[in-house]
Amino acid sequence: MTRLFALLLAAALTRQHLGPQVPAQVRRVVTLAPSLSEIVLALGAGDRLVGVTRFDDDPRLATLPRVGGYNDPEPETVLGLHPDLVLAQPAPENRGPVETLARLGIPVEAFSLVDLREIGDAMEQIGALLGLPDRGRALREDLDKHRARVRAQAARGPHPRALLVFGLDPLVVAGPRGFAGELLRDAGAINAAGDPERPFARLSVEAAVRAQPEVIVICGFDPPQGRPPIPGLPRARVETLRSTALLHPGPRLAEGLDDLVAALRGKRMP
Amino acid sequence: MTAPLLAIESVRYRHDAQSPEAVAGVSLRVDPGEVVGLIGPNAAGKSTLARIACGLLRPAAGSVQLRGDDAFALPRRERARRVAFLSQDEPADLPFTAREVALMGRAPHLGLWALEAPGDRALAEAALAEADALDLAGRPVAQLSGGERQRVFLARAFAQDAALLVLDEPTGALDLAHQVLLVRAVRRRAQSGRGALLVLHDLALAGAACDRLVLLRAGRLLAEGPPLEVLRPELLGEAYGTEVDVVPDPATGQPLVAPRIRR
Amino acid sequence: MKRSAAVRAAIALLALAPLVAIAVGVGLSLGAGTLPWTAALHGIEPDATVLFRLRVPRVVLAAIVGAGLSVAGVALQALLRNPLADPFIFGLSGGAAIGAALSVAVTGTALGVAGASAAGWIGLLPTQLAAILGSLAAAVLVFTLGRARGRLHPERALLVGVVFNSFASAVVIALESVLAPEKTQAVLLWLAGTLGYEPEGVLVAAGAVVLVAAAILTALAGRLNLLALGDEGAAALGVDVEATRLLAFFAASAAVGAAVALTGLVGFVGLVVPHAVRLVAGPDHRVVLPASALGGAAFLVLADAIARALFRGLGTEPPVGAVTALLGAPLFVLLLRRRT
Repeated sequence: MTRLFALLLAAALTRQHLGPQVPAQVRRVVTLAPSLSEIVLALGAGDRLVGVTRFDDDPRLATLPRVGGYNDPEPETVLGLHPDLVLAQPAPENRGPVETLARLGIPVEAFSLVDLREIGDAMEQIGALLGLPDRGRALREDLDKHRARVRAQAARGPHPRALLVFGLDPLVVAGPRGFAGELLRDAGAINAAGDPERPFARLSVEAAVRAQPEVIVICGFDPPQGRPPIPGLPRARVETLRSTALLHPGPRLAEGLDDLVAALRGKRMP
Repeated sequence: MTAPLLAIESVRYRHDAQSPEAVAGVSLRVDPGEVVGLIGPNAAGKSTLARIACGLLRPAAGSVQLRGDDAFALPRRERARRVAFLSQDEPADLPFTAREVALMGRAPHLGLWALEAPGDRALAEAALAEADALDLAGRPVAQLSGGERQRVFLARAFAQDAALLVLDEPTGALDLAHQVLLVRAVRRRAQSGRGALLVLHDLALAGAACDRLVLLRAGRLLAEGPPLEVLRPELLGEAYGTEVDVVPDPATGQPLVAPRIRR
Repeated sequence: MKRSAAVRAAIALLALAPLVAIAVGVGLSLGAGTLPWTAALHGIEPDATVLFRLRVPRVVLAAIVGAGLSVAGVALQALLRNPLADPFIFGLSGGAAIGAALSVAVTGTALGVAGASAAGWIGLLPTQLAAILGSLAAAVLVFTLGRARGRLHPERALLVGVVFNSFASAVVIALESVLAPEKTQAVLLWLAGTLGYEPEGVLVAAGAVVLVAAAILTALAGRLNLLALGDEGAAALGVDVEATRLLAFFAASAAVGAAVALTGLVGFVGLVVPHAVRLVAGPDHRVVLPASALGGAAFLVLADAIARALFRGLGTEPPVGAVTALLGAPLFVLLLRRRT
């Protein structure tokens, strides 16, 4: 019963529209998450971006004004940029500020980016909103095709047991649901994290040790030096993915998937 | 000729740069077997002088010698073995029992881990008995009355087993019986070659208890000598700034001092 | 109490030893999963790894930190003549918090990478090294500002420490508002106190620091008793009050620094264990100090075991500092009612 409810809720939250209608011509866009900025850039509409978060580190966005963080977008700053559309990722923490924007007369579209289906939907729908439906569909299809290619190659084996780690203290890993876990599966690995409900789950060190992963892939940060990242697993192979491609659900996931495949095979990636 | 228990020579002391001198050139000595009383009005410098005698305050000028050695050159524990101090304001809220407080008097004699031997415990028990505080032994000091507490601190001073006792207003909270007991205990110790310096307000008690009296006023020595010489109406009147009568005790002949109050 | 202090201390230690043993037993048995003991002891993986490389180091760490915080609490309560003093009161927690927060904030930057290399070279995590340096700086600051006329005044040092802790709180909160959410969470978790899995070298070093600190404080125990008589009373009994204070302050700070560096701010232990021990064993520091070491060790081992076991139900581990408070407060009230 809770599963059904959760699914319904998820469907309801996948895409949400707040505030007045989105104009037919969208010329000024503010994004409240780096993933959404990446989607706009991949659609070729980067020139329409007028404001991004302070966590956006893409060089192409270096000159754009910052409107705040994930959970604290500054309504005054956003208003001052006169956007036609604000793109956001829904979360309990930023609900207040996002609803404020809508109340102030700014059209808001919120896209949940939890798994690859949602990400594909978002790319297509944002394309449509910006008047570039073909490009939106192309982005989605490119990602799907890339994944299919990788899956075909990976089917030949090997299939290592792996943990995809996003944090060490506490230990946070990718579960099978959610885009990171799905990509791990595409790459042919067996997710040693079990079957937690959430896409990113806290794992106890003991459970990690029991799961006996062969490979530990660390995403987006450097593990501490001089000791195994997860105590009790000294023999597991540790690979570090420093690029943020796998951290931002969006068009760069294709690149992230390639990085992941290389890491699982043991080839050092930058 | 044994060295005096205490020899203070021309000491001067001021509490801080702005105040007047609390002690301005006072000399005094306590020989073995002597009980010396320090008397005088408030702010005469008695308590300050007592602390100087124990090495707790360092005089700006003059010397303090305990048994011939410079009090401030002695290691702290050795000094504590030669002189025991009882202050006017000992803490009232101690969680320790009377027995434990008496045992604290043995501290200068203990080793690195501060563990007492059976001999130390026996001495502490004897000290409690001497101060008539044995029945209080197991009770926390914080729960005792002022007079009972005073006897426990006295026991601590006795347990220290120092040749010189310096007691600052030891009889303040004590009832008559215990005042007498204290004087007897101090005199008994003096008989075996020890000595005491007592700061006293009660002039009659001073006259009865002490071999010599030292009269201070405003940090200076006004008079010094046996009680009969010092406890005279003219001297006391000058020191205390009020008229006093001195009459001999009918039984003992010791001088009894009373302030003259006309109704 | 006609028994000597040595005998009473021995009795206390003998009474507490089984408590520690039970706590260790519980600590090794409880965890995020069940542990088949026979399999583990026969070397069957992964049970053997879980027992020897995870649970044993964790229990040892809890014992070290619990003991260190408790003896520090005893010492600081004696120095300040104040039963409300806890080990963090002299600004040590503030310094460590600033250090840890800054180290989390600079991860990824050039400074952060340099710091991580330095820490790795010593065998510590960057947050741990930063916390040690932070609490060291705080101790020096409080000690320097707490002096007047060439002597350390405990009440003055306390005031400086309390003010510094408030200042540090503000700095950490300000930092948190600027940091990314994951980093903020890391800082918050550290501040709440968590026991992780430390490598052997670190455990040995921390254990040595706490052991030496506890030994120094126990040797000072007699003098700490005398401090209750006041500075003058203690000096009259031959105590070098200034030296005793300094030595006790630094021994306590070292123990707290080692604990805080490894586990963040585990509250409640250093405040309450000394009181609980005094309620049962009396005020003599020669008994209270060693008894608090054992009592604190048992208490934290137990609290940590419970925190880990709760993972099964909650899917996440509450910080051990929360468990020490939840566990300790009712226990303490019970003890208090028994005694009065």
